[in-house]
Amino acid sequence: MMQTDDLIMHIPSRPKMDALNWQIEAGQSWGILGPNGAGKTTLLLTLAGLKAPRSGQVLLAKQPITSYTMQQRAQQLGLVFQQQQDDFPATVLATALMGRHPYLRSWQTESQADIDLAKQALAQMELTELENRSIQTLSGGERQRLALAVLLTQNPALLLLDEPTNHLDLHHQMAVLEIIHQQVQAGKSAVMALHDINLAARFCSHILLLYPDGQACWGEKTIMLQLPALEKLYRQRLITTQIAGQTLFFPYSSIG
Amino acid sequence: MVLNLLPRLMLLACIALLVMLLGLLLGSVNLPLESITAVLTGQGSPLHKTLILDLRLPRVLAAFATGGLLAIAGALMQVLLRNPLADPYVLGLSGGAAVAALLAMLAGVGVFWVSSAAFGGALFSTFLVFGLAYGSGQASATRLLLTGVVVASGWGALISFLLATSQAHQLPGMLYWLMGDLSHAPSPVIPWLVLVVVLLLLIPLGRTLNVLARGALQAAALGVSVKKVELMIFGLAALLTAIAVTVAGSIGFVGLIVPHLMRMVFGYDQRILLPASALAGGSLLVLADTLARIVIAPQQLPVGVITALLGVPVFLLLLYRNNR
Amino acid sequence: MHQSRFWVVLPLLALQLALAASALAAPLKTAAVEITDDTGQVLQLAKTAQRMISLSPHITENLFAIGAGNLIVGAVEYSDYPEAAKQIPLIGGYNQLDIEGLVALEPDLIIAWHSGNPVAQLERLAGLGIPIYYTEPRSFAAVSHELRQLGRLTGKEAQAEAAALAFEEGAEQLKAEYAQQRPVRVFYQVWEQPLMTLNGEHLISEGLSLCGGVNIFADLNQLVPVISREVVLAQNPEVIMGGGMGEATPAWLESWKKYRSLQAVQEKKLYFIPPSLVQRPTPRFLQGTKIICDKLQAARNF
Repeated sequence: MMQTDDLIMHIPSRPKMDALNWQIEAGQSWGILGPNGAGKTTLLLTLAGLKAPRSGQVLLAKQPITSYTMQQRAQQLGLVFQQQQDDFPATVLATALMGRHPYLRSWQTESQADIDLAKQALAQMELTELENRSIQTLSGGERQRLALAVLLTQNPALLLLDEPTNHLDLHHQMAVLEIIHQQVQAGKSAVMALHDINLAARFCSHILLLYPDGQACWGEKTIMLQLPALEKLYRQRLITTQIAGQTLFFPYSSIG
Repeated sequence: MVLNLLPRLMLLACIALLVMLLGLLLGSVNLPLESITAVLTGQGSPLHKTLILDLRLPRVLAAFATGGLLAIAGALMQVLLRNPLADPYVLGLSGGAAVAALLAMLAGVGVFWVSSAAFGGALFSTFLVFGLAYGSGQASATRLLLTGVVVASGWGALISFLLATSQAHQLPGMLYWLMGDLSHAPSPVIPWLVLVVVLLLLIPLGRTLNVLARGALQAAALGVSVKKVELMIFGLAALLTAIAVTVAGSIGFVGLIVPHLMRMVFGYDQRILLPASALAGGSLLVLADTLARIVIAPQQLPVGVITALLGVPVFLLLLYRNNR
Repeated sequence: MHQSRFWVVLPLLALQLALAASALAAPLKTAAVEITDDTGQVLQLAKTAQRMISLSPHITENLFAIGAGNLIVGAVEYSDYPEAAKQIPLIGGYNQLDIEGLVALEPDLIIAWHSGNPVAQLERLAGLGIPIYYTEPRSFAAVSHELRQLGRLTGKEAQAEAAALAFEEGAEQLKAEYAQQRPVRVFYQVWEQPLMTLNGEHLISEGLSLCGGVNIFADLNQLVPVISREVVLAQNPEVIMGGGMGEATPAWLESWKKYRSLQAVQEKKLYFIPPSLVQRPTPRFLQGTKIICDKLQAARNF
């Protein structure tokens, strides 16, 4: 589905970086782990073609992403950002409907089918009751869910998510990740930057570790989620435990 | 969804027509209603014909088009800068126009050249701000806004300089221009043409503008060619404002409050907001100009005084209500 | 310590203040000139003025008219008549004075234009002890009055009297010749953008009535009001006259020609009045009034 070809991201403060030759297949969900400032957001933007790489290229369905129009790209891949801008009081439903923008010609208005898709996405994100509210009145978690609803309405084959569980309570964290999981099961792919190793361990099939010095390694999660690698990644001692056959990671602290 | 709002838009169009009729009916000379129907059907006295067809009609049309242009330009600037407080002049365009127009007045040239100078000054200021903001490559809405505000205050200083050093008898003309005045509006044909063409151009772009208002990155993720669209908005808003300033000097507040008011009535969808703003901005300016012509008749006020007097309380009220 | 010293100084200070106050209040026994200006203030000069500052082009012009032009040491911008006036050092514009430059000229009298000069700056100058005479001529009578007053201030009474008399007689003559003629309704245009005229209080309006003209906007409150074109059309004046900027043929008058319903347009009674002759309350205003009278007579003889 997506492939990077000797890709080196453009981060001016970091002259030496590993070239990524990375393959994202349908049915895979990738978790990007790395400390603050490692370049997770930049990597997502570069994959989406919204930020030019220093060298190398991103291939979408074997074609350079730059060869697609913006509209074609948006039909193939969608992006959820960490923050949303809402200087203007659009309604929740109108905002969700923006997910249909890549599919409509300029003179077309949204059809009933489009509206149904948006409403369905809002229902999945448990936002139906808010559909006529202004986005300016939403809480942080509601905004995050709305951003995911836009992505579901957009319905691309490749989902790029920058910390999708940001601002979410536990129930909604699970709900959101389960929906993403379902989408991947249905043949799509997801790439998400995550902070929580345990969520990544549960919901991702593959992991990419992004080190602040520019190194990167990637592969299946069972190979990647090893204590020494993670401790080096976060420069933090970790402890592990096994519950119900799953390995859990916790930061070690001398206090308590 | 958009179509549900069409009845309200039609109502607004009816109000616009009524206001224009009012503008034809009222003036410093009182005319009976019959005289209008008589003149419009080709009868009526020569004086009535002159008053209505030669003086009031072109002025009402010019006022409407100018108000419409300013309101649309304001709505566009607000999207471009992702800032609901932006107005058509926020990027220093009126300042450039004003300096050029005042220089033309000082040189003692005629109305036509003053207007031409204003147009040239507006475009110059546009290119200046654009060059400074985008010249270094990466330009954000904030950088553009900051550049515009600084350039605008530069123009402001030049305006003060020109006012301070001009002769007494030239001052009224200059002040009237700065406050906005429609008494010497040129033929309304060009402003109307631009208004209609730009609206037809913008309505299909409305959905894109909606998306753009959510931020440049989000818009790009939804398939908008952000740079291209932003350039187009910038260019169009500048052109609209330049024409409005050329017709009537720098009239404040229309471009700021009309998009706000319309968002309260029609919601935020640009596809309906832009035509609604055009209608409401036009109506507001016709109304303000009619008031400017009659409140102390036969003496005249610059229309900018009335729009600001109407605009300031309305705007403050909105701000107060939004904060609650 | 500072406090105690202050208490010692205080009585001295009070004494000084009292002395200064009495000096101000006491009339100058030796005053050569005692004169009331147009604001009603009484001004006393020890001797006639020898180094004068003129704060308006019309004052400069009037001083030259009474032969006192050589006594002006400083003038404001646009003091351009007569030709010799252009040689006088400038001390700013009428609305923005160069106080330092003015004081450096060591004037013994400032002639100020009451409604035109900035009050704060004049107060500053008064505070420096320079005598100020305020003028505000708004009528024919006020012009001859100003000429005579300037004569007294400069000791040129004889020349001033001659100039004032000539002005008065000229005005009387015009009045005798034209005031009883058929009244002509006139729209006098002062400015084009915005459209401005003048009310009955204005000197030009007095000139119009001297010539038997009737200012159609005499009743308005403002001296130089902005008015609507509509009312001019509805009033339908017999004559439209006015100046322009500079002496060129005014495009202003041309712009009325498209309104065919106007009597003034139908009968081609659109007249240009050279603005330099009517814009200042000086003896030249009489020449301007003569031109106005001639034009109105031509209108009557149509």
